[in-house]
Parts: sequence; structure tokens; C-alpha cells
Amino acid sequence: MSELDVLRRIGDQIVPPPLEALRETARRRDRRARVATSLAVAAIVVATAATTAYLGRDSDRRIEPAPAPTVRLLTYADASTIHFGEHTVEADAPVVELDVTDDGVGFRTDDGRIWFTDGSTTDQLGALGETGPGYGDTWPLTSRPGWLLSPNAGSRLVWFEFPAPGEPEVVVYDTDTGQEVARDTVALQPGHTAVPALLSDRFVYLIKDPNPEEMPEDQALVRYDPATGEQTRITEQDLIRDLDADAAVRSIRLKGDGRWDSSDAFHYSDGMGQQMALNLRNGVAGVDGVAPVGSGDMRAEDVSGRTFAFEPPQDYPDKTGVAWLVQWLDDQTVVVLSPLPQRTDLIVCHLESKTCGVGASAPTGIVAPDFGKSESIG
Amino acid sequence: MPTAMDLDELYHASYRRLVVQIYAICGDLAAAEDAVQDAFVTALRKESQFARVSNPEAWVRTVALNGVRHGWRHASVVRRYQAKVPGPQGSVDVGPEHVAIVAALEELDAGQREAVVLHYLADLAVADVAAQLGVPEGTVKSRLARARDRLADLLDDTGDDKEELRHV
Repeated sequence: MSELDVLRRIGDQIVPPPLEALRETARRRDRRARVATSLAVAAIVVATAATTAYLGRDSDRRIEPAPAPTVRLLTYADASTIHFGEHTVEADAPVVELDVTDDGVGFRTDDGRIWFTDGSTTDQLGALGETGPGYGDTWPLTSRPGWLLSPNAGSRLVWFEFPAPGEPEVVVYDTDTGQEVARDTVALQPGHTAVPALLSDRFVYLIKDPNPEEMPEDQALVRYDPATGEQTRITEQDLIRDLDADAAVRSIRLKGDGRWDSSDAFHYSDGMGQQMALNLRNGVAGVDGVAPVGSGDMRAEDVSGRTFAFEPPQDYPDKTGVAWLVQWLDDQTVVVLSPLPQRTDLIVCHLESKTCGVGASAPTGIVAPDFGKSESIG
Repeated sequence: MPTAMDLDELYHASYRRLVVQIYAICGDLAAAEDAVQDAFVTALRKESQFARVSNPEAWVRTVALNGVRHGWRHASVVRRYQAKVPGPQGSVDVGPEHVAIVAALEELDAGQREAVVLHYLADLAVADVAAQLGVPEGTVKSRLARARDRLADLLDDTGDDKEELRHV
């Protein structure tokens, strides 16, 4: 008898619980999900009221830093090589997108497979599958580039999979425990599309039927709650309220950037993909040093109310293009991607000292967190 | 398409072998039972979606495998939102011969272990293992070859088994 047959024989001793007991468990979970939905709705109402009362119209709330802030590593991919702090990880195929959690790097290779590496071991988590009709090459212009995203702190990683073309599932995964937390089919009528847009500690936000010719805030937004599976169509104002209520330390406060609503109010953003000016001392959009720049007269602060602007690295060359905020390394440190014609710089800026330095110089065309492939457009 | 009756039949036909397969991968019988039960609970909660699955047993195995992969135990963040499943129903006599093979399997890396279990215990063809793991068939073949060699060395004390594994 082979050892494997010995294992098979264990099965003879196993007594399955009655299927009805599992049915009851399923019913309890469904009931609990419905209760959680009700509580979440109530919490949103309370939080919204409290936020409005406390913050006023100008979101003056100050967020205290977490007691034990996590530190992330400067991360990017050059073809199939992932640079993760001092680690170098070789992927099976070229990396087309990646994002970082407190535990490592989630990434997708150009064959559609989705992976996670902690710098020493790499595991496949899933596969994108065939997206199907309606998902063109231009849709990322409307939101973030790709199917994979993570927040600025924590262990949550979210991605889309397509078990069948045109029928996406949203998958929520915990990179600390290595467990899938939630997986639900995105509710879509035939012929419609959806893409992941952004993520908070509570919710995943999707854009339905993304239109490259419209600004993200003008797109149809859907809020997905991993705890309940609920998918709710929301307005731009709902999103602003959510982001204000859920804002974490690694956020920036933006006002008058020509996006969101037209009121003279600060609103919170995770900052990822924020367009930055770099060393434009003589006046593009009135920005000095390294600072956010938008289509309007923009003001940006960190959550402590300090101006979100930095001195450029010493002797850094003037450039006329733009840069992008791509990563928070800790509560006080951000990374700005500067795509130059001959190389890509990852510039590390400190909120306290207001100074920046070049953290890494990489070839053109690297893939950065929450950004995708770097291309010089200046 | 699986109906309610089909799900009942699937449960009774496949529960034991799925638990054994997951046990061989994670090395913890209670965790394996938890994972398989959780997978069936998921199937029950998503019956309409499950009804469209072409290979229901493979679907349940994949969900269970995801449940035990990496951490072997469901995270507290999941438990917070989920009612407990009934749990193991009775004591199972895991003898030293079982421990030996499971210990040997644990010596393999995760990819090799999953390939061996799916191919030899779940009786899946190489192509089906490749599809389930999302890797090329060549990768599965090389993992199986390495796993066979490694297991043969690990189980060297039991000479018959070494020969058996080389010819499975």
C-alpha cells in the first residue's frame, strides 16, 4: 500500500457534519451580513452628521498619528525585476502593475497572473482572466492604472478577476494572514463594465462604465463593502463624505484643485497619483518646490495642517514636466515619481523637514506603485 | 448546472476526499475540515453563482485551498463577520503512518506539495492541475518530478514506498 493510499484511508474515518448544519451557518452569515449592512448605514449617517458638525464645511479635523506607524519600502519594478527596498525579486514575466502593503508587494505580470511577494517568497494569488469586450486600452486614463490596489497603510490588497469575460469579481485579500477576506461578483448588466478606483479601510470604490473623456469625479461610482458584499451606487458627495470620515494619517487635504466639488473646502485624498510640480520656481501654477498642482489655484496640506510642499533635492535639474505622488513610506515620508527623458527618479520627501532627496534613479519605463508605467511627458 | 439536490450529492460524495486532500496540503486535519466546510458554506450562500460552475468539486476545492493557503487558519478579520461552521464531527485516529507522509509532504515547497496532492490524491490530470494552480503544464511536470525525488528521499526508510512513488 502506498503512503498516499494510507492518507486516503483517513477519509473513511471522517464524518461530515449534516449539510443542514452548514445551511444554517450560511443563513446565519447572510443574516449577519444584513445586520452589518444596517449598522454600516447607520454608522455612515452618524459619522456624516458628526463629521459635518465637527469639521464644519472646511474639514478642519486633525488626525493624530498612529502610535506604531508602519514603514514601507521604496518599491518599483523594472521589467520583471521588482525592487523592494534592499530586496530584489525576479518575477516570472514582466510586471505591468504593482502596489504595496505593510507586508510586501502585490503585482500583476503581463500574462495576467496576480502575485504577492514579501521579498523572500512569492506566491500566486490569482489571475486577471479575459476581461472581455468594453475594456479598452484607454480606460485607465479615467482612474488608476490597473486592476490591483492597496491602501497607504495596512495589509489589504484588492484586485479584479474575470472568471468569464465581462463578468468581473472583486477580490479582497489580507497579506498579513494570507487569507482571502471577500470575493464577490461585481453587479453589472450585460454590456456594462467596471474598474477598481480606490480603497479605504472600509470600502472599495469602483467606477462603472468608465469614460476616458470624463473626469473621475464625473463617472458613475459604486461603493463595495467587503464585510457585507453590498454594492451601492453613490454620488460624488457620498464619496467625499466617506473619504473625509475615513481619512487616515497618510492622507492629504486638497482645496481648489478644480476637481471634486466647486466649494472652497478642503477634502481628504489618499494622495496616490496626485500630480506634482517639481522645482518649477518661476511659476507654473504658482508652485514653488515640490508640491501638488491642479487645474485650479490649489492648496494642499498634510493632516496636521502643514502645507504639503517641499524643497526639491539639491542641484536637481529644472524640468518642465510633471511628477506624481506614488507612495507613502511612513506617516511622514512620501515618494514622488519624476519621469525624465533619460531616467526615472524616485524622490523621497519628508513632511517634517520639508526636504527631498533622490531615493532611487531607475531606467525609463519603470512600473511604480499605484501609478503603472512611468513615461516622461514633460 | 448543480441544483440543490446536486449540491447535497456533491457534499456527501466529495467531503471526505476534499478534507483528505486539503489535510495533505496544510498538515492540520481540523483546519482542513474547517476549510472544506467553509467552502461548502460559501457554495450555499452563492448557490446561483455556484449553479453556473462547470466543475463544482474543483470549485469547492479551490475555495478550500484558498482558505488554507499561506496562513492555514482563517483570520480574525474574517471570523468577525462570519458565524462559525460546525467543526470536526468526531475524532479521527491519525496514526504514525499518516504523520510520516504528511511530515514528508510538509518538507516540499508549497507549489510542489499542491501539485502532488492534486495529481496523486485528487487524481487530476497534469493539465487540470495546471489549470487549477494557474501555471503552465511544464511547471506542474517539473514540480511533480522534483517532488517525487524529494519524497522518495524523505521516505527512504520505507523502501517499498520509494519505488511506489516513482511509479505512481
